[in-house]
Amino acid sequence: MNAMMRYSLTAAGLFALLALTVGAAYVPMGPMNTPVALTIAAAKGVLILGIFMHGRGASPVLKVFITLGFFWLALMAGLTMADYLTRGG
Amino acid sequence: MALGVHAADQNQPVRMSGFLAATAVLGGAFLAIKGYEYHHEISKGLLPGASFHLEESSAPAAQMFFYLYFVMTGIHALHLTIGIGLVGVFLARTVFSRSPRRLALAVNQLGLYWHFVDLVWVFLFPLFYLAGRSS
Repeated sequence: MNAMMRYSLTAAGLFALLALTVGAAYVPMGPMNTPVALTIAAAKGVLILGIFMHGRGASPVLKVFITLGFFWLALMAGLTMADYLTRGG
Repeated sequence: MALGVHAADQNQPVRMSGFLAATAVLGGAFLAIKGYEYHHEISKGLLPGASFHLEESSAPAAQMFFYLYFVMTGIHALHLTIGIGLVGVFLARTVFSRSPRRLALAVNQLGLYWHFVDLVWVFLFPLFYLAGRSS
């Protein structure tokens, strides 16, 4: 598969997931709406990281460091959200 | 941008410049839409501060939402502006570069920056634009 094809398919996949997440936002799922949206966002993130940022095919050491970096970022965002979501008033 | 990086790796500077220019144009279009949105929201009095006003829901919570909204999207827009500027710099570098290998390496880094800013938007969009749509 040539590069044009691979990147076009990835972009098409990203737009399909975008349509899915917009559609899912209008389905009443109570507290599940945000987790569903974030799961779809994570799937899009994997596409961007794996294909556009060349994570796929990277050396194992590089993969460990990519994972580490984003895990750290998720930790920071998670702790911030834990603060916002548990404050009363 | 991904196609631009690929063209740089294949040592095709003309194709690379084309894809980089297209990237900058698309980034500019995003900023233009964002600017239009900001203008619309500010004219409706949604910018947090003394003149903030919104009748329908509880004002402090709404002000908190718009505070977060403007800060997060504003910082994202700032990074996108930096990205577009860098793409411009790299377009100029293509003309003067004598080492295609070094340029390709640099364009790869630019691609990582660009896609990271993109990745941030992937998460900001559902959190700010889609949260609470179904209720």
